[in-house]
Amino acid sequence: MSVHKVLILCLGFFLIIAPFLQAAEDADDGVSTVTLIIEPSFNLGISDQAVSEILTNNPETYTAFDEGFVEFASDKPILRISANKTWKISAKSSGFSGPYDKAITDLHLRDRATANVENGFGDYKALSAEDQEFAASSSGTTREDHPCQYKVLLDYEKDLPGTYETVVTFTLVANGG
Amino acid sequence: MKKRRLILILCLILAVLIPYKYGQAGEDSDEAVSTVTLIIKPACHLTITDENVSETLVKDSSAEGAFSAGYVEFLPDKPTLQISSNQDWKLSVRSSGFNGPYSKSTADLMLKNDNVGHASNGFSDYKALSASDQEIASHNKGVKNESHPCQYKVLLDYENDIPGEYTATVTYTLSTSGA
Repeated sequence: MSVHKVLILCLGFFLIIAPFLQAAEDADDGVSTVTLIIEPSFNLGISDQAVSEILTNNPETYTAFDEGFVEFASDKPILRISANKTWKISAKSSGFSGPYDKAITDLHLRDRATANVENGFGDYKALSAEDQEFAASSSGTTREDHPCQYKVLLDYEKDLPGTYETVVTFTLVANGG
Repeated sequence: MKKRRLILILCLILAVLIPYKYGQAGEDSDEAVSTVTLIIKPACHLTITDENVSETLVKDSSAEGAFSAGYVEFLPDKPTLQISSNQDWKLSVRSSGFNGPYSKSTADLMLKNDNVGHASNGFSDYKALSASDQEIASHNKGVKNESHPCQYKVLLDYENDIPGEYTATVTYTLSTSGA
């Protein structure tokens, strides 16, 4: 046999077994990329948001006027905060509508939560027309309750009989969103 | 020309998208509102201290001077009334009349109100009481713990006021226009 023939035979043999060689390496890789994009997510829930008190001509009212304030029911409203990043919550008041221009700062708020209360709102503090931060955290939180309570200052010489109403707006902000 | 148009279109797209993007960042907040309602009814409160007063006229001592003067004054500031009200108010007074050895005239009991400012109806000086309410003080606004120190005086007459004990009950009423 000439060298050429041997080469041709080898080539033919290789071509014949080549598919089997491939079959022996019959493995394939599949890749899957999983991407989860989590946007800033946060939610502010509120319960018992409408609160009211009636002061009638009775000893409790005299005491309220003598002490200079009336406290509303505790834990009303309750704010429930969920956030997946640093957050803060603030409050502002619309000011009173009523028989006279009752000072906006006559409405006080306190946050009875055991943690993350800030800016002195662990005790009663006057609200204003501007947002005031009263709770914050540098990390996310799940359904964190902030039971709040209102108090309204009273003055016999100013607080004529009538209905006084104000709207308090709570704003939950996730920083850097 | 085409390039300019393309640039303009790009600028327009950016102008729309950039505020949208930053607008989303600025809206990264959630709100909840709460309404606070306070209903204040007319409220007024009257307190009285040293409400029970008495005088004893003793022969050859206080009695003689008092009968000569025609009256006996009781201690000042007794009683003292304290008024709180969240709107215009008036304070009135009436007497039950005396019970005693004879039917001493109701008008023999006089009262003055030493409050400066809101005493009314001539009661800043002694004025006879009657069985009907008489206004002794008023104001067109609310007040807090306003003091009205009062003083009684009883007219005396040798010919009528025989020895004995004379007692009258005086009723003070604080009222507001809406209460």
